[in-house]
Amino acid sequence: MELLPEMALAYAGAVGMPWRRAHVAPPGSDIDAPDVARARAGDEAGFEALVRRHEREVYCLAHRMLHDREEALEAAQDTFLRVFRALPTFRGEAAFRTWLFGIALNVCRNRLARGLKRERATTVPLAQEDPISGQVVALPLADSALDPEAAAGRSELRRAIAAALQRISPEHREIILLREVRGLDYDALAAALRCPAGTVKSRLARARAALRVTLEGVWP
Amino acid sequence: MTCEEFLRRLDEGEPMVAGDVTAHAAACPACARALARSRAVANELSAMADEAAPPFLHARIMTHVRAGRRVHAVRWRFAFAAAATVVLAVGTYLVLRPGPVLAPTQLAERLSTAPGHDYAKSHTDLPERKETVVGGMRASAPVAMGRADKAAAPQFRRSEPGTGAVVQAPAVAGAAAGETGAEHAAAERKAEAADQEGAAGAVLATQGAAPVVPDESKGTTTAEHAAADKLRPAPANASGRAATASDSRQFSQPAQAAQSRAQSELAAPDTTVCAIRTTAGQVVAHVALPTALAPPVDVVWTLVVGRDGALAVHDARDRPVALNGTHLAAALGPVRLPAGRYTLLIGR
Repeated sequence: MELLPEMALAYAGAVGMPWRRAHVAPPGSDIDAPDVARARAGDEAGFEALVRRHEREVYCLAHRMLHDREEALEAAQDTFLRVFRALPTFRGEAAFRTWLFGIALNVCRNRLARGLKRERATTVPLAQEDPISGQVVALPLADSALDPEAAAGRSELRRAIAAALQRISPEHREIILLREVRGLDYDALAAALRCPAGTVKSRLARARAALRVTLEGVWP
Repeated sequence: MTCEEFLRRLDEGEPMVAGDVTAHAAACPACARALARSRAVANELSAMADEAAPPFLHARIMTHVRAGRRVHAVRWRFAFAAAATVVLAVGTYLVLRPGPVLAPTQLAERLSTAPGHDYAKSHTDLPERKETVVGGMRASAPVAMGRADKAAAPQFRRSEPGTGAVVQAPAVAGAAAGETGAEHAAAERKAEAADQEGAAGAVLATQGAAPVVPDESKGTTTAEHAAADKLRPAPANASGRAATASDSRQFSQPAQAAQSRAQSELAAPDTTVCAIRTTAGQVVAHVALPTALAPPVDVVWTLVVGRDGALAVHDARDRPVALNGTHLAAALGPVRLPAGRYTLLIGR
């Protein structure tokens, strides 16, 4: 039986499945719409509001996809630059957030295709100059929030999941992240991944199976 | 329910609360464990949504976007400037360019379909009588230079626009070197026969019967004068057009010379007779050009004939000159020169 998104959300809450938090955005209720309109009209404040609202989840998505902090930062930058340039062509057929995730995934795919991790110096910077204020900002160390798996209090399961996510294919990884982490519904997934809804369902099932099997190896 | 079916439902994200599912989970410890792990994983994945980002993320993104926007704007400005330059250049060319250049064949085609298709009358910038003497030569192959090449030598044809008759002339260059007077006489006889036939549209090809071609520096022969007399156009008939019977004759090189002389005699005072020569110096046609457009005395211009028949004239420095393809096409009439470079200068 196919559940409508609203039904699925209600059902998930009723049976105690908080992970089934479907991102349901009824038509016209896109909270980004006013800022999108302002940004399209050339208002930088509108665009900055969009950045502020979505930058963290774009960065986290990129981080999970690329498994590299610097790559994730650059991917987030590129994503918002592309969004800025493509905003005039945004027709609002999907929610802005869905459209944004589609662009972010494209950026991540391109970076993965180019070779995920560039050769880097073995030294790790401990501070970085803020490009706006010019102040030197101390970079969080490895056990901070920038490295979730190393952060204090993180469970062994999360580290296992992070490791398993890096072992499954990028195609499976992205759909797991969008569905299970970002909570996109099937329609939004289809829009973000640019594939039919039927493909979304089958791909998601294969991705879950792949993650489950992979987890058997890293989390016995 | 089998374990396989249970896991399939689990992976498909179905709510694992149906009676058969719970019954199987109760009976199968492995599947019960898989269900518990799946729920734990889903919970942990959901919690990943709350992960933090670097504090400078916003500033970095906005700086990048602002810089990218500037680059974008510069690129657009550059692209706009480039496009404007191209449009300006094309517009200038379209405004300043000469009239449409018609290939001789196109010109002839257009004239032949015009009412009355009188070429001379349809071109007011050239005297009517000029057509008779200017009637050019059309070559169907590059100019041949030697006797051995005579088989493949260019056959310059003279077309009479009024009748459509095409008269084919032999190659004129080195072929002249070994020709005899007898051959010349034979060619003349053939020309006479053609005169008697006099049928419009007849094509007389006399390859291999090239007559003696005298060196122009040595002057002309008596036979040439005779040929010139024959070539001199007949009085205009009632329609104002020159008789064409003598046009359907085979051209010989002496005849060409005579034609040029006759041309110079008959050309209007405001025109200048110019010779078109191959780069090897072989005369292939004479044209009467308006004096104002003709090359200066002793100055050699270059005539370039494109593969599509388009004509262009360049001066000694290879710059386009006022005498453009249109004027030349009008002077040449339906004559088609083979593609290549020719010289254009006053005289014969």
